[in-house]
Amino acid sequence: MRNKNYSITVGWLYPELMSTYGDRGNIIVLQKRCEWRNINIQVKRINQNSKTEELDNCDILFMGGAQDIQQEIVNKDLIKTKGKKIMEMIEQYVPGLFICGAYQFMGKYYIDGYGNEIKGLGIFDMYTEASQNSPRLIGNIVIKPNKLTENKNSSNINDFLVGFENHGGRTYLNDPTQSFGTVVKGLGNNGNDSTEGIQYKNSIGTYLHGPILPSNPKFADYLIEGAIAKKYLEDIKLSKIDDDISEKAKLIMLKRLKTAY
Amino acid sequence: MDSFSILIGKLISFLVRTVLNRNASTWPGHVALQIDPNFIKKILKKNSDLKIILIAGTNGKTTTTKAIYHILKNNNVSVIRNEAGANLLNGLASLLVNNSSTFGKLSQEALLFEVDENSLPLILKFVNPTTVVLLNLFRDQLDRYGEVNATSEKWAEAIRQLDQNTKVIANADDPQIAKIASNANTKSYYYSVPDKLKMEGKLSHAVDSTTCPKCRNDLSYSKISYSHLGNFKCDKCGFTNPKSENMKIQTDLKGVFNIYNLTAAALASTKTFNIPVEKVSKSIIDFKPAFGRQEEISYRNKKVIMLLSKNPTGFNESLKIVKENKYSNLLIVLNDRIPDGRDISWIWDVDFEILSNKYTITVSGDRAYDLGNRLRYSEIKSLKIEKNLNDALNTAIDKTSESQPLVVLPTYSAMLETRKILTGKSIL
Repeated sequence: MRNKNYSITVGWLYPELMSTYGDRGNIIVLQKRCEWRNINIQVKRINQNSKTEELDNCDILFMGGAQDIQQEIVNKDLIKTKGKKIMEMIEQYVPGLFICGAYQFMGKYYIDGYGNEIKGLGIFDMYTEASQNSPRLIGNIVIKPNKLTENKNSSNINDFLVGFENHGGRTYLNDPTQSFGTVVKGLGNNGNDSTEGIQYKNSIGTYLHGPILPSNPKFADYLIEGAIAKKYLEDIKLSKIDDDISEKAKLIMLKRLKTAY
Repeated sequence: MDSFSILIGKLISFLVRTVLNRNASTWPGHVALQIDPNFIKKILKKNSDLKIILIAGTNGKTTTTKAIYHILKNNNVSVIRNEAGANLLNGLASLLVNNSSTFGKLSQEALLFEVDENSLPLILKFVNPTTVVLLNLFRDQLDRYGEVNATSEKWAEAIRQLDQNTKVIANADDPQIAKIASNANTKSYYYSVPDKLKMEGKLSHAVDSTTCPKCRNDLSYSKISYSHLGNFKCDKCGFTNPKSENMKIQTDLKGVFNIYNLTAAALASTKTFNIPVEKVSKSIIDFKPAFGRQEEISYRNKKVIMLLSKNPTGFNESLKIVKENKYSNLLIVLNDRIPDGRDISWIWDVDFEILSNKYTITVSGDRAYDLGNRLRYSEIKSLKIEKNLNDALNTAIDKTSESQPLVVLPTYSAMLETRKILTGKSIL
């Protein structure tokens, strides 16, 4: 990477309300991986009291999962105020990461355990259904992402993403080829069709906690590269960071889950 | 029929203890319940004078239960309690099997039962307690317990079924607990800690109850003791801490969370048995918590202190103790087995950033490398990762000087494992 002074801003959506499963880890990793490479990074906390304009200079969007009550508050704010802006940004290829509850929000609708339909933002072409009778989908998960992997036939541990899923809702994609990844071990969107998450332009919705970025730093770099590429109109390749520790952690999990790699 | 269940249960107990050399804290009750699902109700009916205290909460159950036990013993009340961990319905049934006569009579005056968060509603279907102690609700093992609000709603519904013959001892500083107790028909008493133990400042990251449980507006805190416990007020509906009873607690135990636990224990004891407050306060001074909790063990001529740290709130409080006491050698052990919770995402909610490079840190456990990765991102350089616990313990001990203790911060199963190595060796 050239010694240019890049500077990016992460918009952390509803950090107080949408942050239940160690989601902060994703922000810490984006921050540190930029700092270690002398890329300026700002994290902007955007909550229900923030003005929509604060999203203007955000180069990456991130939103985590939450409890039901918190989700209700956020859903109202999104539909009423910030949703339209977020949709425009995603359409314009701003990289986004939406985990679990946030992922569900971005779909067309969500049917809760009591049969109530909750409208989503409809950015992602998918819907989610929960039912009182079906068990939550919980456990360690391994997926093979569809777009991050450059060579489809290669098989090294960086071609896999590991995480932990824990969701009651089952998500169905209207076009399964839009899935973020294919389930190798675990359950994924709905436990049936082997799809996990969704990718639309540079934005990803997924059920992977863990959190996802600390366990899968190449994915973090993909988001950072996307942000820089969009802001500076340059195709860049970030310098390498020694990720020996997280690779060992991943290897141990892949072995434990008997994943062939 | 009851005698039959008890006899079979006692036989199982005997076999489990002698043949398997294990604690008979769940199996006998499991069998008794299989023979008669109403076993607990029937036995309790025969012992209508027995005073039952249930203790529930995310953190501090075991310590509080043990403290009540200690106070009652010191005040000549005969009492039984469950083993930590045997906190489901079969644990309660086992406690009854193991302590009753063949005719189902118990000789004790009091029964203490620490209850798993998920099991409280179920237990209340079978037990009409004299007292229920509600300690706190924090995020913990989301894969098993689900989210905090969901647990709080289940508790509220279960507590609402109780009448004014039951006393509820509730934490006045936890908004969700305060709301549950104030909406109940029970006789509710509240406890807190002195204001001087609370600080002004911002809520830490790993908080769960920042919205008003009554109207969902944001709560504002004038003082915080830890996590979301403190002096709160809802600016919209006015919901605030209920008035708490005055208790004087003297202890050597570290951490404000222990003051909460001991105050809850003291209040539960005076309200259930009419023991004067002064006598209760006096009898608690020499109380020592259960194993793994601020327990000191000597190993290879060095002092090891165990601080069980199993969720973000508990972990953050342990790190505060480490800092305040200037301990510098740490061994952190992270397992992801059923008793620990299989999802380790929560380590990113722990404020490891308060540690600096002054510390010598060894990490171990099933997920040693994930923990190492967490510490790497908090810029800790003096780090050794050793998955094998035996080796990790020895490495950490080697780095520990004789004047400084080694502090072990383990998850639950890791605590049991570490303790086994430490105490096993010290016998030899």
